Amino acid sequence: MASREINYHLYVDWAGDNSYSYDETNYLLSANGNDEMSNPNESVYSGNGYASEASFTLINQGRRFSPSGSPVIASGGIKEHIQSGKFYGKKIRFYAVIDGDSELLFQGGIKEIQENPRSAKSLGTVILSCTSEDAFLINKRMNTPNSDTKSFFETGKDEGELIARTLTLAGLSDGIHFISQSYGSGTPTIDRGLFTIPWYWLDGESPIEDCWKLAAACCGRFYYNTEDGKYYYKNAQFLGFAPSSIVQETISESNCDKITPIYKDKELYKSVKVTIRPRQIGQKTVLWEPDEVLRILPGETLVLTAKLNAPVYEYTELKVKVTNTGGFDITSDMTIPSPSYFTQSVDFTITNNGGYHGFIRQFQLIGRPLEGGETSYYEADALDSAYWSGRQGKERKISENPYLQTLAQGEAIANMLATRQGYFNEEFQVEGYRGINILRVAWRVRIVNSSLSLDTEGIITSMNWKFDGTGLTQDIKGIAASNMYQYTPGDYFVIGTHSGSSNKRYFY
Amino acid sequence: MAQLIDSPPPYVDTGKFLSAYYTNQLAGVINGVGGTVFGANVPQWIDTGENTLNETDNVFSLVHKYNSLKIKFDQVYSDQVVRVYLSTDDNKTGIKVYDSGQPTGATTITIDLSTNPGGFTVDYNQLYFVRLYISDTSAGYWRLNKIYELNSSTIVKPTLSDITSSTVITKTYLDSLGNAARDLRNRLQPSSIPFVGFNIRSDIAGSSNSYVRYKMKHISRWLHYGFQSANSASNGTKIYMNGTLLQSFSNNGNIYVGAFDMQNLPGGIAEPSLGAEVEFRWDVYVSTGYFTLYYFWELPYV
Repeated sequence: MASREINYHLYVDWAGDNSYSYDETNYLLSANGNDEMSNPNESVYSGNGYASEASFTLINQGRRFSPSGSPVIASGGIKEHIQSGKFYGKKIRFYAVIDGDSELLFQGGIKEIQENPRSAKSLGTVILSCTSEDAFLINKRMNTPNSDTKSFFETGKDEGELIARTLTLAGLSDGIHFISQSYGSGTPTIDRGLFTIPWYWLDGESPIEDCWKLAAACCGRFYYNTEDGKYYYKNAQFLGFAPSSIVQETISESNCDKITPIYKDKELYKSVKVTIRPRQIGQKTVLWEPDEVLRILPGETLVLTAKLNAPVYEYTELKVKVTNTGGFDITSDMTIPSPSYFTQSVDFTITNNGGYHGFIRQFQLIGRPLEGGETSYYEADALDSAYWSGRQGKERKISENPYLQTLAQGEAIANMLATRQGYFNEEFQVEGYRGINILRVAWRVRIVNSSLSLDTEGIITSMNWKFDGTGLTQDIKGIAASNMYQYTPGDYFVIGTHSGSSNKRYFY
Repeated sequence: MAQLIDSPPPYVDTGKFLSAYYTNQLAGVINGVGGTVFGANVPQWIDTGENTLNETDNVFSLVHKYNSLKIKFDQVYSDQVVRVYLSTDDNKTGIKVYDSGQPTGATTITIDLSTNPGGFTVDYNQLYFVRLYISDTSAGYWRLNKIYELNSSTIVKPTLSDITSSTVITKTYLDSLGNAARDLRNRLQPSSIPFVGFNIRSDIAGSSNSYVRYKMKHISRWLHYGFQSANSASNGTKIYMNGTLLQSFSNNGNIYVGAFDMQNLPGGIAEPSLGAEVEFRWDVYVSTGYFTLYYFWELPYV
């Protein structure tokens, strides 16, 4: 195995000012981390993402990294930055330098600090458990403005535009945390979507999980890239372009410890069945009214939230009538500022500016809801009918995704997955890779194991890295790169390159 | 409306694959729009008069879609007063929302329904009724063209390049198709035109007497009709197209429902050119009972 010179740098943004001014390299004993194409418990093509993780074991010299005992900043410590839970979410960057080339191997935030106090047998250490930034957003809950749902339907938005919008609503900035197609400069990190998704809304949902759903509904991939700290969306064509379509590295016994082919049926399906749930605009109706008569005292402000059973296309009217104890209409004494209209909820405030007790006799929110249309199904069988003749196989069901809304989209997704997962694609596992590149998920690599006469190309679906006294190694898992699409990438019609006489094929 | 039409195709990127989904969505939008635009070709009633038309003598029904209600005259005179009444109850004359003299010549009265004129309110998709009062004139024949609602925008034909088999298909070209599809989809149904039916209890016949008179542009294949004939032993209900007898129906009190195939008209009458304006006249004879015309319009299907 060829030798290589390994170096590393660990920077922590203890100050929280994005300066990453604290170089903790000299305290690092070991580190490890991982990156997955999708949730390991699901298909690698599920589209449901998985936050990257990393752990850093640091020598806790002078209790530097102890939230309870770190010296104050003035004495060279970081106490003010980490005490009382202030370490939570502080950003960290870990660079691996191989033969002088530096690559950002991990970027994320600190979730936990595990203390291992000094003893007679061991140094005092701490373990910083970190995740990529998306893990911090997973538990955020969001509602979309109703104006988004209505206008996006009327203009027609693709899944890439919806992902960019979700990230913006989550508080992230276009151009900084991601780059959309409409940003205007820089290379977009959010691909243009392949499908128009008619109806888009979040109702108390996680922005990250919603982006995963959008990606899954379109055979794409949404993830936080620890290499540059930005959010990415790759549409369903991503496996037809570099770095997934061109070999990035050759792995053999010369640069790793072990190569093991794996023959199992986790990704093998005989057919794919997709459930499509369209929506349609309903007739105007009363969307919500309180269950009881509300009382509002003079000078009082009531805050109401209308939680609706179904999403709304448009709100048309708010009918309010307030009477006093004698039954006289005192509606004019009330002030109702413009409500906050979300797609499936509305926030109101109502203030009684008059001198009488008010009873809200009528408070009706009127508009046009979105109703479920007729559910339809599309089934696609694996293309290799000769292989499946006489064999039983599994059916892959995609049924719970709210962003599968049109039959055309369902057909494309089912056909694509039936092609890819209808063939037996071998998997492989590599242990102890020590090459000159950092291998990344979704890269295409060549795998050579001469003892098994194995020489194949595969797509990396999982990457674990480890840095310790023995150096930097990577363990990877992957799947054969054949049959990603019905035809090879070179057979498809490329926009801006081909003409009608080029004899090329439509993509799905 | 737009929800009946497929979503437009997404925008594309140079260097990426052209998808069948894109092409199918483009076709879906165009087919959907075509199906709706050609869905119901309602003929406009032509009314010509010299005397007073009272608000109790007429009613137009519309389904509210757009905020501009227009009453278009081909000819009116400066000694005439026009009043417009709106109601959501077909039993009531309703609220007077317009009352004014007119200039001589062609003119269009526009009423903005979004301002709740005179306190009149009507919801989107709700049926409502328009009644007109047109005062007497000795200056000549006044002529009402049509009553309709209008969307604010008009359709502008997009500029689409011609291509050949050797044309490299670019993002610019594909996005221009996508934008044209979006525009077409969003500007669907630029007008909502009422059908004017009749209930007649005496003879109204002849080119100078019958006011059961319509004009429309011929765009769909099937001309549908539904009416109940009166009783008259000596004459039948007759339909004329551009002055030529199309068909005569026995006056036996029966309900007639059917459709003319404009490509195979009775008596070998030639189909009008597509898009050409066609005038229809009904001659109605009544001895007993009454004649009712329920509907009369073109559709692209039988």
